[in-house]
Amino acid sequence: MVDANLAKGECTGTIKFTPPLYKQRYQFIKDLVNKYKPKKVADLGCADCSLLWMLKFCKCIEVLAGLDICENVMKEKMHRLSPLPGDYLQPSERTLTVTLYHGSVAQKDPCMLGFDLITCIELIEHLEATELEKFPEVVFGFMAPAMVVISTPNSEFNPLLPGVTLFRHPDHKFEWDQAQFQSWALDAAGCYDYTVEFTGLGAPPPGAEDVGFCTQISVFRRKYPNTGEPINLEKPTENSYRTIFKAVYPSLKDEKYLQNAVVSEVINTAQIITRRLLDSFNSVYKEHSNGLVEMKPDFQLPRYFMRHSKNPSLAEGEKLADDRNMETYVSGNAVYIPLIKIFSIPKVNKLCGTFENLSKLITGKVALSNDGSAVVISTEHEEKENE
Amino acid sequence: MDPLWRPPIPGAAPYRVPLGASLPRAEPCSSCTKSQPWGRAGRWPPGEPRLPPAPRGRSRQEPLASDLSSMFRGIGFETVPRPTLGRATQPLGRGVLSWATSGMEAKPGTSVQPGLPAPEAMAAGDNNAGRTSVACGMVFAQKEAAAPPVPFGRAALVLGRAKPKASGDLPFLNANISRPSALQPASPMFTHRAEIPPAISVEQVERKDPVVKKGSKGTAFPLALNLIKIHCQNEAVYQYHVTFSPNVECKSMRFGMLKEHRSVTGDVTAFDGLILYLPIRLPQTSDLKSQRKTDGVEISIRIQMTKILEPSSDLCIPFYNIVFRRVMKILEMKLVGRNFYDPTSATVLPQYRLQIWPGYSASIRRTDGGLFLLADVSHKVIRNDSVLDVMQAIYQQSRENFQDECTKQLLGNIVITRYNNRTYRIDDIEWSKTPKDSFTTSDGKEITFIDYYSKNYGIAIRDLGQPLLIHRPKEKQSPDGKLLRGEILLLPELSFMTGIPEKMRKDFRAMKDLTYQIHLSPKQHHTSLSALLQRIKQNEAASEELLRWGLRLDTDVSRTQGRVLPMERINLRNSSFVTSGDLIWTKEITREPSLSTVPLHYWALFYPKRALDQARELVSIMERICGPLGMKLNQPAWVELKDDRIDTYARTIKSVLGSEGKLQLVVCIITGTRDDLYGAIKKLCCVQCPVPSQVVNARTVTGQPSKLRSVAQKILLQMNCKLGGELWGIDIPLKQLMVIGMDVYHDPNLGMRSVVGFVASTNHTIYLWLVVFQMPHQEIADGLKLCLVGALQKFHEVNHCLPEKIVVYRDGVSDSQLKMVANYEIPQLQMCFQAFTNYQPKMVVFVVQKKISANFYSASSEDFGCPPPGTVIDHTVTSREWVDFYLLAHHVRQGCSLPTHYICVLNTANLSPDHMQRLTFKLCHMYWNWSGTIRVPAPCKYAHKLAFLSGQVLHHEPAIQLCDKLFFL
Repeated sequence: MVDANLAKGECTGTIKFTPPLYKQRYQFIKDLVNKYKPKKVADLGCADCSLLWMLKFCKCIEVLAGLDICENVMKEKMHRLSPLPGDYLQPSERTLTVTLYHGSVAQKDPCMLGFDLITCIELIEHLEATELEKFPEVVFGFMAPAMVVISTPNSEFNPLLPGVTLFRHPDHKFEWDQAQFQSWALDAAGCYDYTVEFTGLGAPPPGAEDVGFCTQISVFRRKYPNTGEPINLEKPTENSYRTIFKAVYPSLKDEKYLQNAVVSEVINTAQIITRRLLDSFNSVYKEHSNGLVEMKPDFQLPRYFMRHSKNPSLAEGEKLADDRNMETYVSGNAVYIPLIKIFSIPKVNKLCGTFENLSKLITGKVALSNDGSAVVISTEHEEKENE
Repeated sequence: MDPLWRPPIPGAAPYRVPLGASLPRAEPCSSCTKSQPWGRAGRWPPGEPRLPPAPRGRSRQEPLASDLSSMFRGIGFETVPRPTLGRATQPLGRGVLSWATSGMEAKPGTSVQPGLPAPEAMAAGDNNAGRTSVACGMVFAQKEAAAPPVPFGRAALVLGRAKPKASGDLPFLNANISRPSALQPASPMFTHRAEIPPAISVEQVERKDPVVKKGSKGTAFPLALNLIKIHCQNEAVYQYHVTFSPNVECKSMRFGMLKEHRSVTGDVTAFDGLILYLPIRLPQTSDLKSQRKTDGVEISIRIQMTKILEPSSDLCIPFYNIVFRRVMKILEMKLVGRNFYDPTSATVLPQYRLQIWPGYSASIRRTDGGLFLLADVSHKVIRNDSVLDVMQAIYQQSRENFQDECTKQLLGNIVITRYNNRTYRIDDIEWSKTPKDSFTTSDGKEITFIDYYSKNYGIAIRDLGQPLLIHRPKEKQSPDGKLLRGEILLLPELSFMTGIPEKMRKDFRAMKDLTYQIHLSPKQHHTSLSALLQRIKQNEAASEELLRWGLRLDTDVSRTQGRVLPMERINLRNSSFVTSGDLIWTKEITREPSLSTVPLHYWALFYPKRALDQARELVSIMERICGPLGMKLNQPAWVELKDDRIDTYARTIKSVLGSEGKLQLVVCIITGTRDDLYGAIKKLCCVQCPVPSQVVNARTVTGQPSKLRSVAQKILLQMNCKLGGELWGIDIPLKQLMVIGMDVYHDPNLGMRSVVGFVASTNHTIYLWLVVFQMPHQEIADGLKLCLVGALQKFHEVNHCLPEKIVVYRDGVSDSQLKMVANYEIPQLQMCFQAFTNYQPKMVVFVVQKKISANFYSASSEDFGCPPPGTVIDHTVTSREWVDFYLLAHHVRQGCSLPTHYICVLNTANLSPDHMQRLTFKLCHMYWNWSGTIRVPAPCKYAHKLAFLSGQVLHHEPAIQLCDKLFFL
């Protein structure tokens, strides 16, 4: 892919596309992804991974793969596909794995099976005749994704572009006119049970409407439903691609990150509840002490709180147990916040799903009461602050 | 004009502003700023157009002139406006200058010459390193021509501040060096060479003669360093000059065209658009052709060899570092700021809502010992909360002054954004904007923040009413020479806070948890470095990346010999002793009388009613223990306060000081940790009604008698220092010596204003201090000159002679500013000597660097440990350009040894390396607030304390009356 350079060419002279055509092509794919929400997307001829980088922000995608014949061009910027520091701080709900393969689209590799969308942006014109010949069988026959998008230059548009003599780029092996591209696409679709629609980007200037779009695009959709099992399994293929990069994004599906998130949320919630309790205690206390400046030598929160809590019979044995399930209570130098109360916080609830899961995740990470039913927050520290 | 004054730089004379004459007056300034666009404007009182807007609601911007003049008054300078300077005018200083001949009287004013050009602006500047080698005079002319006030010299003012990250996220492979800023600090020659036509002949880079820096005193000690030797397997690196004809301006197009010729250059290249480095040898001249995509014109590319470099050449270091950065990326380490971290191994501290990421700071350097990887273990504290979360928490706690509170807590913090890999410092908050506002993208389109993040990153902004954070990057120069001063707006919701929260910093228990995580023992430290080396070795792609340039890392850290300096003798009044192994002498000094004490006849003790018991307890124990310390202590005036409000303290102290003129010391007992009360007391006693003061927290004087005793001892010793007493001394053979310490304090809340702390000795133990508040765009040297002249006056007052040798320890200077200090600041300082007749003292200037990544391990046993205090190393790890050494003066109790780096940038006294090292070590014994050795020489630490107190607490210069007392301890 040489989009960047090509776009520059397109921008000067008489014809100018804004935004540049290469960006429009990426945006086209992005729009398509947002519309059909594929989970597994592969970009064949991914070059410097610009499209993959854009797609990694699409929330629906869980598997992203890139394939290119040139290892160096992929390596140049592949680290942009790595998770960012921020991704570890607030792991996303979805999983995402990004893999880059070095290999040829004329060869089959089982790693490309089972995709929902495969894009080939400005790819086919770089293929040698022999490779182009194998291409439909590999992509439509073997990989057989639910959807394929192929874009390629429209040679009819070339006379309108300044400086273009034969092809738009020295590495292009051919550039097709609309009829050539459409007949090739229709053949492939017919042969492998796909439907195809044609569209394009970069509308021709007024007066030259019949040359068609600067970039021609065909969108293929598989007619038969996904059988679940890749149909070509009977002839297992050896790995012909080489993995050169793989990034697994942190996700809440991973128990380690889920646990971190839950523990953090639980402690935060418990601390807020404790602070509110102590604040309300302080304000009531101040009222009662009638603005006495002198501080009480020792901090008698438990007794005080008991006196003012809704339930005056807190000291009674049986009742105590009941209350402990529902109400925050204070004992000694600690505040006890029932787990069930924390579980009712929507954020915690959403993260854990079930109460059992909550208990399981925070055990050993958060200080709990002896029976494990409440989170314990020590108030010693708060006392010091109040002193 | 003073006929004796010799302009140091041709052309400077017209802009001379006689300091003594003009300082207190505003009128001459406004006229001089017109003719002198780059120099001084920042220092004149408000109303001057170039003063930056005062930061919201804080930091009084004191007119500096009055501060300085007040200081001058105190130290014997005449600050009354005088119409002319010169022989004919009346004598300058009253008392102090009476010894001087009339011929030099005018000089103190003139020699303190303001407004000289700032070459450092170029050395540190972005795109014009080519000019660094240009002589000063030429630069001067250039700037003169630049009519509008261009904030040159700003670089000098951010001394010690975090350096801008060295374009850490350069995305390129093959080291296409696209951002010269990344390169120039390391190789100023780089661009310069680029501008001259290439030499046709192939030249060998000559080896520099190593500077003499090795000492011999002390005993040899085996050490290991956190340096990993890099073996260069290639014979050479070849430097080529690439010309495009017809010329191609666009850098990326140059990159693109050269890339097309990989078949010739190979895959391994480093190219900045002009200069190409390859590990392979091409013919003397290669001619290639490319087609320009935009217009189809054929461009011929000529690659001419210009140099054959040693593979360890300085010119290679910048791209070696880029290569190493790629290695770290291959190892899946995340670049945050300039260091690499591994978030997958994070330690989560949920109670504090933060994570600690382990990682490394590592860079390739060429030192005296050759090419090394300098690797240090680093930890990044990152908070789980976004800035928005933090703001919401602030809102919960203080609704009334929410905005002020936010500004206070957030400004200066470093944030990391969620959607890319950048870190930004928060410089301000834009309260009037929200994500619904729009900004202009690079292609000129208006887009709202909401749309921008949704479109580019698929991020939906939740809080549409949040304010925006402002980051102001350092000015850059655009290709056409204009200064670009942009603002970057960030969304609080998408920014994570880094660093330890202020609240946690005050929480002793939390900090203990944290230091447990962060402080590694030497053994753990070494294990961690070994793990990194193993990872690089075992990762094929990573080692391959290094090998492309022929670099191979050694398997373990480098080992060498250091020396442990001889122990020193500490002198008390009646006895002396040699320090023991850990260099702590608390026991000795609490048993015997201090070197000299000041009898405390009149002092007042202020305490709130409920701290009466503690007050009584404190005084009674002080009376019991003052005898052994040799102190005479009378009963204080007991002043009981009816409550502990700030106002009560302030009013009472003021009235007592007003009625009691002879008061030597104010002691206040306060309850709880109250920064505001502490600040108020200090402001009152250091600025408004100058008197030494001691604030005691009531909590520290409660507890067991033994504990109480040691606390009281400490307080007494501290009080003695503040009164002007001396706790202990040390023998320094150099006579007529003045030792100077300087440090700079920066506070983002002060609106880029810095505070220079300056401390000079009048004998071997007594120090005198001076503080200067520094305005943005103002040169530090200006303030330093005032201080130095003042200090010399005082020295003469005390000793009736001027010092023969002056040794300066200058803190707060980064590597990139060393040349500026040596070539500009020091000559400025030396001009001060002209203020005195025939006075040419010998001068030694050390730059003191504490924040370095060098580390020593003791290799005397199988397991690495900490080397003993007094360990010095003056080879291998040292710089190739300077006389320098690393000294670990203090006893390391926790974690790794953190030696201090001393770089000698001037030595007209011809001190031998041994002398330098021993003098420095001796001075590390002289900090009276700690009965042991400290990391830096005492004057440096005093200067630091002083600048910190003035900047952080007082926000003002302390009263000059206190200048001969260590009131700031």
